[in-house]
Amino acid sequence: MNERDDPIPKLDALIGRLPRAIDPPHDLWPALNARIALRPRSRPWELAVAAGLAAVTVSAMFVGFSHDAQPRVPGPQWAYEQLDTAYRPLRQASLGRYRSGADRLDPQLRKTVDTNLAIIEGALAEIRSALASRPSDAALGQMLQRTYEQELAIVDAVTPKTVAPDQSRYRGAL
Amino acid sequence: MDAAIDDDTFIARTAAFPSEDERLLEAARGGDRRAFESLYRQHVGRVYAICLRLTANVQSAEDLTQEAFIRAWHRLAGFRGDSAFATWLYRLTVNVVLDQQRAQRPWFRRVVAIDDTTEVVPAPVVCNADQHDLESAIRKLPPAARTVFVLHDVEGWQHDEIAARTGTAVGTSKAHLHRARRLLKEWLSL
Repeated sequence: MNERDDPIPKLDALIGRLPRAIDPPHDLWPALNARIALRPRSRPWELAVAAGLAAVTVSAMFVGFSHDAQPRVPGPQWAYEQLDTAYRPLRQASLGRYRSGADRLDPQLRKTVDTNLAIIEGALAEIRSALASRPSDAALGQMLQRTYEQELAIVDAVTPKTVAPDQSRYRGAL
Repeated sequence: MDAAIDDDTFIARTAAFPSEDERLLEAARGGDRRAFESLYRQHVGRVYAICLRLTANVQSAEDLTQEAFIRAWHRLAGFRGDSAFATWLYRLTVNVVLDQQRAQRPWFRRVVAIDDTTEVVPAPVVCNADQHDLESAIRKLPPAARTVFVLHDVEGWQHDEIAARTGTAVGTSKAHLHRARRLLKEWLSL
């Protein structure tokens, strides 16, 4: 029995008589069984392979895109450093918020978020690397911006916004 | 009120076949849905009771009971048997309910709600209360106070476990329990 700071003997006696089990109003098994049949069980190695494939796909997409199929956009130089500068405070605030509250998340959810953030971080590194050699590549710049948005969306889905950032001002700014 | 199973029936039902439980568990791990159905039949009452008391809503309790068993089905391979299957399942059930409640609220309310002083709609005062009156009164408790009361006084969790799971301080958990017990004492004329 747990410790009591405020013993109420009659209440504790009633609690002790509560049934430990209560039958649902109707049989839940048929619906449950159907849902299980529709969603085959994933094995841990399958999840690991899926995450790996996602990372490889993202990397391959960025590498392939930047080296082979990218549209060359003539005109003004793509100021990706300006984009970095614009998103830096948002990302710092967002990731800081996530890290300070990560201990409160369900461990499985936290693992999923961390895996996704790691994939995104890897993708950002590849995009920046490609942009370093092709700074005027508009498509790469757009990809960088979309990836920042994805990162912010993931973090915002699991953490509070103490101050709602006006992200729209950065859209299309470049 | 839903059909209740008394303690003796429950204990007899769950304790009489420990080796059968293990056999079913092993078969279910291998994908045997009939074995999983047997485990479901054995534990559904307790899982539903947890969901019902935490949510105070029959429909939500049914949905979350299903969700808990689906999560259990998908995570059976990861159950290493360090604890009893029942203990693992009931803890998983609490996590399913708390996750769902958290998902339904903006993040800031998730943190603040556990500290707030939600306005209480007084329950009718009952004399010579029995456990059915207590069940009804539990449903009328403010959500945060109800959660702590059910986990601590009914399910036997410690305050530090509750605080860790709900992301609050131990003192906050104790304050909610004190509030819940005071309200129940008043409503049930104890």
